[in-house]
Amino acid sequence: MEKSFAIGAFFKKYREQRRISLRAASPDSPSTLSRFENGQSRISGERLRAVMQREGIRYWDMQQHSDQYLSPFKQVADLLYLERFNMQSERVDAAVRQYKTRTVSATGRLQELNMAVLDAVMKARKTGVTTALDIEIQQDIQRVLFASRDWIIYDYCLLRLAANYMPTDVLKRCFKRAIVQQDISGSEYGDYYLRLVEQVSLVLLCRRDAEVQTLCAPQLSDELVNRFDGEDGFTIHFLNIMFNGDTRAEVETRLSEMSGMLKTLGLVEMDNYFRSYIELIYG
Amino acid sequence: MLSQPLNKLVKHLRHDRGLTLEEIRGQWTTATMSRFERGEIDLADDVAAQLQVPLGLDYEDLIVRHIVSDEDLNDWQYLASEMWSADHAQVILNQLNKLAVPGARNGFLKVASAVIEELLRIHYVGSQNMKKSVINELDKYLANLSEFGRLEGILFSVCTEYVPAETGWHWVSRQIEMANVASAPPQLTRRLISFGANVAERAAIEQNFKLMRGILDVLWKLDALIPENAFQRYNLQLLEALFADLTTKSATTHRRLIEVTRTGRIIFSAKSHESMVRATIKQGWASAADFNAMM
Repeated sequence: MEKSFAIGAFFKKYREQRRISLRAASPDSPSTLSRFENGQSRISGERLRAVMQREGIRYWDMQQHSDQYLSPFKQVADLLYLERFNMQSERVDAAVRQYKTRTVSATGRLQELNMAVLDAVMKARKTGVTTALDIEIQQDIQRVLFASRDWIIYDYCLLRLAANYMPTDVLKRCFKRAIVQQDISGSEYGDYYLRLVEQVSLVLLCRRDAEVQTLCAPQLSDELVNRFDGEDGFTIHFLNIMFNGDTRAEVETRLSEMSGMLKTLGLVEMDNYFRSYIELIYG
Repeated sequence: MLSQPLNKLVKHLRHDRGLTLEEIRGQWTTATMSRFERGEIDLADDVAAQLQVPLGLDYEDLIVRHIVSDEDLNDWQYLASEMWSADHAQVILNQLNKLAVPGARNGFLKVASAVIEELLRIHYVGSQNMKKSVINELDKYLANLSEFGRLEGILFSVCTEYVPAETGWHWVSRQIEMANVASAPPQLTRRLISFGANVAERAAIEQNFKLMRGILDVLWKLDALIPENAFQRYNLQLLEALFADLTTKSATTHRRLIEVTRTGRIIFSAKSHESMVRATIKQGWASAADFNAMM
């Protein structure tokens, strides 16, 4: 990842390698594009997006070059999600360090909440003991989530990361807000919603909450699973076993069948991850 | 569908987060930010970057909300054979043609349209092979690149199914080379593994086991660089089991092949898993009876 990203130079090189003329990329104003490419002026977001269309560039491509196109919090939240089967991985340290470096001069309420939540995650990782967030932080998270009439990725990620460090009543209140939100926004934020449902289900199962099944099971939709970008059917399968098993014996049979599949694939960390949950849930 | 202009999204987020214009203005004046929120002016693209920390806004939110153009990436995914849809392909082709400026040179639009037209033809006549002329055009295009765009990655990987495995592997290994995998984000490495797995399967069909072995060795090294993930691991274990079964066939290797395939019913949707099983049977790598016996 390049530290300082010269966006104009990136566009110029990209265009030239693909033999795209200035006029083909920006028919209304080739000279504006040229000045932009040479770093002599900026162009509006709208014009830039039109150029991107004609050159086949997507934001995803710019994200490969510059952190600027990835918010620090989403970046760390995504990485921690990918590392969830082995939180002891060094990559977890690296991801949190990167977040802190990127936001070293940042201030504001959201930044304080993010830092408090990441500290709780890292403390639990180090000591193995889960400590609740300070009461003011909990209240503030709840306030942010309830004030937001239209959740963005941030809100889903914040609650997912904070879930394990909130008392059950606060967590359930916030999660019910997420359910309402999901009804409004439909499947657009499906990936992030599903990650949240999974985490809340696991946390409440471990706490042996009486409401977990009625609250979480209806939210677990197989259709929301993005089977390519980091999600996998195993967590859903695990939760379905937990929620739908009639007898303890039946649950155990199905869990051991699932463990067998993970071994078949050599997914050692995932197997350990689910085992540790089984231990926490059944004690 | 969530859809609104950026200025409206920023305005209501700022209100919801209880922030002043001063707190989000970044390099602009509060007056400029205010005019931006009211929709009177458009600001440079990086305005979204300065809102990441105070508002928690990410570029992906803009994509989800159709404020920026990446949402058509979904249409591109439909070019892959297991999701193939001639309607989607036609939509993309029409969009590309609309973007073309008459008389102006645009290598990307030219090669992308040529490929999609060829994919439409291949699916229409039920062919397994792309025309030589299109392969050559892609090859020439690739030779000029020092990096792959996301769309180009999709375009090339879709084509690997219809070109000789040697050619497909040339394309994918160029992408791996360009990606600097040691420091690449895991999401990118995953894509490369999937692309490579497609080519390895084509090598199996061609019975080019030397190439298949070489590809698998590279892909395992990539797999070691990313967090455990069922999707890519399934691809690799399945190809490994297939390799063993095709090169040193025994009851054990065959049982292993069926066992690995069977885990796919947890990892993929029921429909994709069924079609994968059917494809395995069609290639003659296993029989329906093998699966019935295991299920």
